[in-house]
Amino acid sequence: MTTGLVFALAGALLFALGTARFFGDPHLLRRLLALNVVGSGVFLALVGLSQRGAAHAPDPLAQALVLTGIVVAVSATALGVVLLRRFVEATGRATLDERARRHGGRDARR
Amino acid sequence: MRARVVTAIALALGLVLGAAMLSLPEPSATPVASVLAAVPASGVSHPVTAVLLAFRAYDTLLEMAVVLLAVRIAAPQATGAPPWPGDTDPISAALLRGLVPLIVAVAALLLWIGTRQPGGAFAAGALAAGAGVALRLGGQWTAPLADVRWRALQTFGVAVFLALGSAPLAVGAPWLSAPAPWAGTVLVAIEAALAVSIAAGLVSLFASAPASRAPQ
Repeated sequence: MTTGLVFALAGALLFALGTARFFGDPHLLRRLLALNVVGSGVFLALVGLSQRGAAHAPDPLAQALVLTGIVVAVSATALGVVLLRRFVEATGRATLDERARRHGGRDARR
Repeated sequence: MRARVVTAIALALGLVLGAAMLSLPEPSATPVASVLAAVPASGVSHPVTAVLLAFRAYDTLLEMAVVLLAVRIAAPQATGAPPWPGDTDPISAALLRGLVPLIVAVAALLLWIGTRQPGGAFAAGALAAGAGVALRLGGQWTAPLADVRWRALQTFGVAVFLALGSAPLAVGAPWLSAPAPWAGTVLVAIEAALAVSIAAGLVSLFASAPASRAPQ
């Protein structure tokens, strides 16, 4: 088991944990952070899988793809934070309406 | 209940992914070797910079367009108020006076050195954006970033990239290619424009989040 494979498996674990929180948690900020964790897992898996060979040089194509992905993820997260703060300022809640109402959460409308 | 079902499904998905990763065949060295062999002809000497700007320039162009799109969508949400009431104390002002020129100098160094070592447009732009965010947090930069010149600064990177990438079309070369004698200069110019745009865009994204009305 090379170090590249260990990183790739850790990336798969992060992907699973982030997906669980993204679909299972109604709070919007936690969903945004979970999406970030999913992205980090994907990047880790991509770079780890490119390092599986024993004595190969590090793969510049995978590193360039991950760099591009990180920049896109950062700008998407920043946009998500701006929209989230605007949403909280406009509605006073941090969850989307149907989920809170269906599960009778703290912010459900009676 | 629903959270537990979702967690179980997600962990099963993770196990499937792990099993798939463990069953992959041994990779061959040919793709990496062919990329590394093509690097000296691209005008820069660092392989990642060569891949980003010379071999996969289209990806980088689209990525810059995505950043610009996110900045333009977030910009109308700005209320113009600083993140918290700007009380500028002398300690933070002195710290910023010393730090910000140093940060800008290191950002310029990262931009220049990106042709030979890790660095380049994104690192320089993000670092310069950090200096801008520090200035806004310290209350030293309170202008609302809404005027035309600021928007032009954000669009500058994509515009220069498109212009320099479309110039080879006039001489019959492919789009987004850099002809051999000027390849290094063209790539450094594109990187400088991208760094400026990234810095302006990231500072705008930070400034676009509405200020919280009450302390949490």
